[in-house]
Amino acid sequence: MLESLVSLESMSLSSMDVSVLERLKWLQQQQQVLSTTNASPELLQFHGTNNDELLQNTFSHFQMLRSGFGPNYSMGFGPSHEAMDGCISRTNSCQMDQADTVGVMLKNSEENITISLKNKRKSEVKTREEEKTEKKIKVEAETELNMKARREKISKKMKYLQDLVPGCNKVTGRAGMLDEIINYVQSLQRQVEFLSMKLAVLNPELELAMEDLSVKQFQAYFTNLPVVVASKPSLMVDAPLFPLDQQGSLDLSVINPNQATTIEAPSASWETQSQSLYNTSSLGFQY
Amino acid sequence: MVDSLFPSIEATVDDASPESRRKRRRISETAKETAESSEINQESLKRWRTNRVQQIYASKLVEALRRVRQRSNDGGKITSAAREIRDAADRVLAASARGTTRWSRAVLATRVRASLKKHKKAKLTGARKPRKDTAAERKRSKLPAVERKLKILGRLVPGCRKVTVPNLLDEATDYIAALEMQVRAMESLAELLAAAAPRSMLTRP
Repeated sequence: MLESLVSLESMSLSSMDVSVLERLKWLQQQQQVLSTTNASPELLQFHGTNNDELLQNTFSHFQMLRSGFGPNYSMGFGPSHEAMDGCISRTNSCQMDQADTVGVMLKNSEENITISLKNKRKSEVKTREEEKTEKKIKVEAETELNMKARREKISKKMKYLQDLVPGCNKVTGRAGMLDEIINYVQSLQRQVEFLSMKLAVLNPELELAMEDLSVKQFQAYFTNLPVVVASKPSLMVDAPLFPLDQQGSLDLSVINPNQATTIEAPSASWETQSQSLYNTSSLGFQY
Repeated sequence: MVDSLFPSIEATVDDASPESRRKRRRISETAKETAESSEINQESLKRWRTNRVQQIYASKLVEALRRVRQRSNDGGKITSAAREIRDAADRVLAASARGTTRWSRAVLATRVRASLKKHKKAKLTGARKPRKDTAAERKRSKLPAVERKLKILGRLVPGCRKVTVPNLLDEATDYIAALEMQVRAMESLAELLAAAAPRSMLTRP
């Protein structure tokens, strides 16, 4: 035993692994010593299991055992020399007396328990932390994808708005485009107000105009304002058909002296009525 | 060691299923939304320009104008009549939308509310305290310029103050298309009447 220990001492203790291996050997030797000295089997088992756990912990979580074991862990994994010295001192003490060895073993085992427990906790904590970081990375990646999809959607919609709003092509960037859009909406609303005022002035003329307007006038308007072409003929149909829900034959002789035909309304839909009017009239509107 | 392993495995298993479920839901949702939004945008651009819509709107507008004329006394102030006409035009526009867009529903809702309550009451409750620290507030809220503009846009489009950004843009698209149609219809009607008016004046004895 002493010779082996001496050999340990003389060995170059550069890496911790070596020292751990040597400690393992030493522990095994101690086990043998214990078995020969008829130690209690419980202690043996305990020690054995402790050894295994301790060894597993040390081998698997070796990198983690850098600091912080401090107060309870008197063995000292840090500097190798200290560990070796500790081992050597313990072995020396073990050599002296059996009772002492048992006491030392007990102490050792207790320390080993606490160490192993700490190692376990540390390993658990480490794995949990690793999981957390992994989860965080996953979640971050997910949110990144979501953000990208959201941005793409928004840019698509801005494109549509760009097509709709005149003069948006010159301005780049979202803020400028939004400015243009806001201005356009405000200008449209102002136009509506202005036109409503105009119509308020012209409203008394509405009924009179309905009666007096002739087909030719409408035709002229259609060519001038191709956009609102469809609305003109409908005005002709509006006058006698107020309210809209009424069904029945239309007597358009008042409005259109040129047209002798009276049109019966097959359905309540405006489209069919107006279309029938168009079909009978030989005006050749183009929509 | 082994004990520590088990909870980790269970945790990952538990997390994977709801996460994957959420992912699948999100993906399907985004796919649906993109399809809907693209449909909405293209639709809105087209539907406010069809002849049918213009016909409907023009006819309804004329009818509304008649009703306004009947309701308000002739010789009254033009501004009040103008406001009524504008409200009628907006209502008719919203009705033409067939309830598919948020702003149209808001316009119709506000009109109903205004008819039930007095208009003055709504105005008084809507008035807010005038802010004095505008400069300081501007400094504070100046950073998200795009967000500020989005807020302004939300205020302009009726019923879209607390709406998400993509929905707001959709609503704005539809609203702009509808406003364009409204302006065109009212312009043509005004021109028609203006052209017809002198004639009617002339023809009248």
